[in-house]
Amino acid sequence: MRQRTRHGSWVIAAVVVVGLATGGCNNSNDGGPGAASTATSSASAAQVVTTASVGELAGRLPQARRDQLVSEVRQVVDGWIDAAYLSGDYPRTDFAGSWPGFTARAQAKAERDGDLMSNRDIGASIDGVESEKRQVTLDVLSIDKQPVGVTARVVLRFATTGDTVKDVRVAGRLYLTKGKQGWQVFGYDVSKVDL
Amino acid sequence: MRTLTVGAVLALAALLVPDSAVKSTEVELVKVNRAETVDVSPDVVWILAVGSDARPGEDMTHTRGDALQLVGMNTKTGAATAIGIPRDSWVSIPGHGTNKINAALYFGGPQLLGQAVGNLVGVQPDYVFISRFEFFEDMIGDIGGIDVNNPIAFADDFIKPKGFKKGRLHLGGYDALAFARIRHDLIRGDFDRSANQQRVLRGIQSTVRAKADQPGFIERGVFSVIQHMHTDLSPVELYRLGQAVAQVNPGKITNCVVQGSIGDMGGASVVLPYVDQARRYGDDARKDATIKRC
Repeated sequence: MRQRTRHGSWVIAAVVVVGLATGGCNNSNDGGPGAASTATSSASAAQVVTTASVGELAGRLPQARRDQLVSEVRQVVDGWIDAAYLSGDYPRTDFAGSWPGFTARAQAKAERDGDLMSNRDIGASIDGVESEKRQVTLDVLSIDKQPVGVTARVVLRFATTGDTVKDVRVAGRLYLTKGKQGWQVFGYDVSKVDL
Repeated sequence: MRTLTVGAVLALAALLVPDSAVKSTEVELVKVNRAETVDVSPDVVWILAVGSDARPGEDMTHTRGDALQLVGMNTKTGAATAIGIPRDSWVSIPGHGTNKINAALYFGGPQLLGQAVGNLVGVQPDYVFISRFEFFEDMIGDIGGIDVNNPIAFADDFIKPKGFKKGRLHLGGYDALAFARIRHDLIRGDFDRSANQQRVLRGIQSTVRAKADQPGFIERGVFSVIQHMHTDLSPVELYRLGQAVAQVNPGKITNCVVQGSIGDMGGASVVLPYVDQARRYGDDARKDATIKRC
């Protein structure tokens, strides 16, 4: 795990990142029905569902294809959010398999960044997690009307119970491309902050 | 080695992120833990960035390269390095005897130029990117200009009569190109110009990294590149490379220029490069894209 606190500018930059991600939820430039499509995540009924939409689009992408893209990428992001933060029996120390939609290398790096990319840092001292906000905004590169690259701007906020009671916000960007196994996360820039 | 023609990836170095003044009454600072990575194969990607002097209508893949920078990027660590090659370096060009290294592009296109530079440094590039002046200018304009730290004032009667002042400068498209091209007024000619090209690369990467947070910035940039180039890379590969450029850590960038002596070959002034030095740079940076010292 790297902690970027050497320069004040980095902290500012990170805050800006979070601000952009938060403010980007209404930034859909398509305005079409692909925006703000929602679905129930795999979390329990008490959990908040993920709102997902297309933000910026470079190139052309038919509406039906946008809807399909939003659905596919949301599944990947939900897979990570649930496995890494929200699901599982807490207290929990085993976070292996928390990055199901990641490439092998990205998965290995995420495991090394496990305190940020999962709840490994607090898992043993909490007995429950309740999500408060799950939001994904997709910036899409489309070539010949086919999506080839996506930046998924993610905002997750949840509360913990147990010995460690706090609100946590995970925010940042996941980078995805589509391969034989569908959409996969090949990179990320994510921050995790206690609120 | 794969070859493509593009400009936007003349961007694998960086400036330090400027310090920010914070007023405690207006801004609340929180400690932020952050992690990042990009999975690009291989871990260390080598790109030969070439600035072509092709004029409109000329095939820029068969002209003479005006700027040559071999750039390594370690996608695991975020390190990057640029090895500047003086364009007049007198070297062996496979199948064409000895000549100025930039003639390899004229003789055999990007593949041969990549081979010639690779033989000099001892590291073969994975990609060759070639940009012509017009696109380079447009690209700088598209990203809102760049900042460079200029160590010494210089000018050129034709390209930039008013010259560039010493210090931190903000350059638009034309000025960035002029900054990278001028050499007559520089004390050490081609060597100093190569160093200036590396300053421009730093400025580009710094801007790209700073703006990568903006929604859609990388997607628009890669889309623009795809619109303006011929390549055998897939859009997916380009997209991954674009994201990798934005992940380069400014604090982990090293730049060196291959030095040499000045010689005369048939009346033409050439650089006789210090091959041992070039190889040392290559050996040093091959596995981690870091040069310990120039």
